[in-house]
Amino acid sequence: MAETGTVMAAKEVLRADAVHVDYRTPAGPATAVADVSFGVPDSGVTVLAGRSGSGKSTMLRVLGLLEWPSTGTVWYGDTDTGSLREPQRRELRRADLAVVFQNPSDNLLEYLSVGDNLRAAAQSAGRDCASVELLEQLGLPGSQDWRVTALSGGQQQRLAFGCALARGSSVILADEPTSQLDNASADLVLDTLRQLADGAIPVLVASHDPRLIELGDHLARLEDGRLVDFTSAGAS
Amino acid sequence: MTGIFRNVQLPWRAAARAAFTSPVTIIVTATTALLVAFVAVAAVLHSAAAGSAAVDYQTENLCAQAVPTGVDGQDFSIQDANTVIADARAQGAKHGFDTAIAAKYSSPVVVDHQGTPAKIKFAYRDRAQDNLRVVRGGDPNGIWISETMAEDFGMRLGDQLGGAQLPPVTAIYADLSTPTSQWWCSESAYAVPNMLAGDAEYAQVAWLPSSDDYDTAMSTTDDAGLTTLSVRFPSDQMPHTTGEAQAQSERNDALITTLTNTIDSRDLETTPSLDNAFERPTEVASDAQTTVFTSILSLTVISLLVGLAGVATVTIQWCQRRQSELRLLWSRGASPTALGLRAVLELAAPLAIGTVLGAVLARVLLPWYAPARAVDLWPQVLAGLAALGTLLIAIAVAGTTTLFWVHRRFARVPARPGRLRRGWRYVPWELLSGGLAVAAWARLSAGYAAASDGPVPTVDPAALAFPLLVLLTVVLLVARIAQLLLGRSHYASWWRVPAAQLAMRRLAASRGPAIGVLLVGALAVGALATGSGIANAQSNAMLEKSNMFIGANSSVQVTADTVVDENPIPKEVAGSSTLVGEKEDGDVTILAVDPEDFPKGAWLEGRTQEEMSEVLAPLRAQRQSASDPIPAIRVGQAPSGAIELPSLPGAETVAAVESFTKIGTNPGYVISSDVLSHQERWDMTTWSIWSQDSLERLSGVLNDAQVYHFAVKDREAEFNAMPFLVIEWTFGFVTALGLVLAAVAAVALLLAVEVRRRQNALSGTFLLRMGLRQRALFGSHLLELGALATAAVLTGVGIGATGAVLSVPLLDPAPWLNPIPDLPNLTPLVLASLAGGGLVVLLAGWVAVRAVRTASIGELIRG
Repeated sequence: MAETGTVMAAKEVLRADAVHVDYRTPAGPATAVADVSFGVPDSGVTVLAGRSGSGKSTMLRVLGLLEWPSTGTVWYGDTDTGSLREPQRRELRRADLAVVFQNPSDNLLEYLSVGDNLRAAAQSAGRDCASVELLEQLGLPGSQDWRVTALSGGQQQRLAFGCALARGSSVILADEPTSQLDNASADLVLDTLRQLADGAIPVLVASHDPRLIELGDHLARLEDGRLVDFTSAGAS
Repeated sequence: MTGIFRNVQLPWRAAARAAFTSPVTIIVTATTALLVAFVAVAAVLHSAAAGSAAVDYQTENLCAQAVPTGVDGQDFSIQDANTVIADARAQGAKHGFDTAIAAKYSSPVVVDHQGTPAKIKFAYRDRAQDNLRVVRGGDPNGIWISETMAEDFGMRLGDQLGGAQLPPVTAIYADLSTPTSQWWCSESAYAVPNMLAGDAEYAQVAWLPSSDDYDTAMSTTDDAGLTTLSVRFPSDQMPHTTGEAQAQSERNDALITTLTNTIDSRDLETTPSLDNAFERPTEVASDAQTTVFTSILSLTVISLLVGLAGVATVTIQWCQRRQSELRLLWSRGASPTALGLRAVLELAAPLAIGTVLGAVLARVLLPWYAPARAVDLWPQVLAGLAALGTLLIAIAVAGTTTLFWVHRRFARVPARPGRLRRGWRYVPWELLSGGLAVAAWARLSAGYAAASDGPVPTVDPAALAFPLLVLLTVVLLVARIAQLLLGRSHYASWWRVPAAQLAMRRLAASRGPAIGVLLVGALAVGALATGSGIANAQSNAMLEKSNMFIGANSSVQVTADTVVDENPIPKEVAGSSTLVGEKEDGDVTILAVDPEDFPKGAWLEGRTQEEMSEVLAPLRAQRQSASDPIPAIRVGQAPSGAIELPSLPGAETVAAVESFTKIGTNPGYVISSDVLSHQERWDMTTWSIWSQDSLERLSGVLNDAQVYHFAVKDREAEFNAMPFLVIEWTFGFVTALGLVLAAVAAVALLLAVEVRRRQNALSGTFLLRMGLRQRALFGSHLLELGALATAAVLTGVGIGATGAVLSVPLLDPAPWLNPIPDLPNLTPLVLASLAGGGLVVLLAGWVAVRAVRTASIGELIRG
């Protein structure tokens, strides 16, 4: 399947409908995303690819309910998020959405230990967390009481995905999770994403990293803020 | 861990610990809170201290024994007098007046002394003998007579006065004269003979050794008449605060009520008068406190707002530093309110520490900025509550600022970015404050500022705010212009002077902080200029006007017969005193002065002695004959030419001055006393000795020389300085606030430099790599920061001084008395401000360049 413009999938956890995002700049309005419509399937890794400035991070923030679109609609399941008030959007972010930011340190609280970071993430969604088991699952056994600064960049990003898991979110949105990492560290993140892909949690990743694009089950390509291509691995 | 905390999420629970990850934030936050709390606490304490200073001023000028209730009565029989005294002692003790000093004075009686009738007064006062200076003898068991009595009536030790039941004369004491010591001040009307009162009243006092002896004297002397009594309750504990004054006044009233009831129940023929002389001073002190507080309120509020804006700025910097964490928590569903609480939990401890330090500092530094040290407990509690209030407000500001920052940064709908911020930017704040300044000027010029129909001026805070509103208006205008110029500065190209171009670009890049520093700095220097200008002007005016009012530092009146034949001024004070005759003719005042001595003894209105000698030189012109008119100097609008002076020779004006000592600008004439005949000297209304010496010294020397003098005047005591002091205290606090604002400006400048340390380091390092010399880089920082400091100092001093110049004459509480106050020389303030600003600029420049020197470019690029 290869469609541009409106893309429908069988089951979608998130869906963008004619999403348009403008920013005001000193030089006048600038369009970051123009009339993009696509759905994020409820399984596997969906990669939002494109060059720098193509609008993928903006699209990710809009889908993660961190930013309002100028026009268009974002659906979470059957819910039109545009009709929600801010407290209801917050509730969705708290219970169902997990965002992993580009910079590893932006995803963690440096004054908390590794284990406390997992617990804090779980608490934010009103859950408990078996941090020891989760750290073993992430390949970080025994780091429970470490300071997060004792971890490498890749380990920190792994821990960030661990926080997303600890929150029990319905979908994980990651913004260029490997861009700040060297190859070895990026490998750790890719391993984690593979694990997540094998699980039941759908992941949306914005990236221009070829290895990550290759890892994806679904691929949405953006150019100059427009969706130019959407493919699924088994669809061609 | 309690249940409440168990439900609190970890980032909030660990917030206080998180603060330690940035010591700079802790220090800056605490410093900001310190300054805010200092201002709030100092305002309360300063007002209370002003009340205390008013109490001190009045107790110093009031007879100390008149502070507690006084009992005075005339025409009492011995029995009734003793009853009243006994009741006063008993009731006084019940009301805490432990010491009572009772006195009984007879009317003048004539006793036979070895065949010579001697008019004297018998008297007894508790411990009187301890407070008289003995000239001869000194046995406390006999009658003590004055030196004058001994000389006039030929009395000697061992002589018998009155009946044989009375003890003999055992001591001769030095005459009592005004000004008396504190112990006698309340009795001067009874114990100091008044030579001018006439023969019927004038009588020297013979002190009896005991109350019983007095009673015996009264019962054995034929025409002893009735007794005058007084009871005083002296205390070592004088009130120093308005609270203590109030308590003293209430105790006085309570004693008066009880004693009145007691005495009324005695059904005496005569009742004494019971007076609370401290009631009015207590009200005056309370008024002074209220006046100062309301007067400093406007600038205090402005300073608090500036301080709270500082808290908001510090919070915004905290938000920027914690941006990634706030975004993370936001993405996890935290509300802006919860994130505001997160800021509060981290910043509350430094804010609390700063508040406590500020409050403590304001209390400790009280003697340095307030007019008195003593402050009641209640104002201190109030100051503590004010500090607590500022802490709570600062915490609320921190939380609210974070809330809005988070909302604007993360939750805003993109269709309406920046609308609110732009809206605030376009509000014409300067027009608003300018309008208020015009309104304040209207009240000020209408004379509302310091109407002084009482001991404390009725100060209108709205009118007093005029110089501050002018300052605020112009500072806001300058900030607006600077904002516009910096916004357009990208059109300018000064690359021929790279340091200047870099400085300009840096200022333009950080317009917000730069304008903020300029605003606070100019406000600080302006407050200093206004505060110190007006406070010093009032202080100088008080000195000059009081001198003008009395004529010199001290003045005593002497009798005409003393001056008819010779100059009565003893040689000990001859070099600093002068004899002046005075006479009124309708609205015209005539002063007869000695042209030789006058410049040495009188207040010269800012003239030097030589200049005053030149002014008086025309009076030395010799008359050809006694019928020639005497030369006179015309003062003010008095008629010129040939003039008739009452009971004086005809005169002709030979010179004119606009103003002269004592006369001021009122119409008057100054003539030479040398030309007056004996009779003309007799005909002058009064003769006084004016002196630059203190009243104590002048009076002491005159006493030693046995020159009778009266109507003594001390410049400081005679002239009611309260209205001047209240305005001086008010603007003294404005000066202190100026210093605090200057500290805020300096901290803000250093903070602004420190906050952009990384940008400075990065750009500086690249510039050095590109070939810019380190000196030029340092110069660019000095130019950038120096431009801000210079603009702040010049704007502040210029506008502060202008506002003060306009206000000072209108704030004159005694416009009827010359001279009109004018602004003192502000050059030292300008130089000190420039020097202080220069030091801060050098320090900030050094901090900026140090960041470049210590930076590793690899680290900077990697971030």
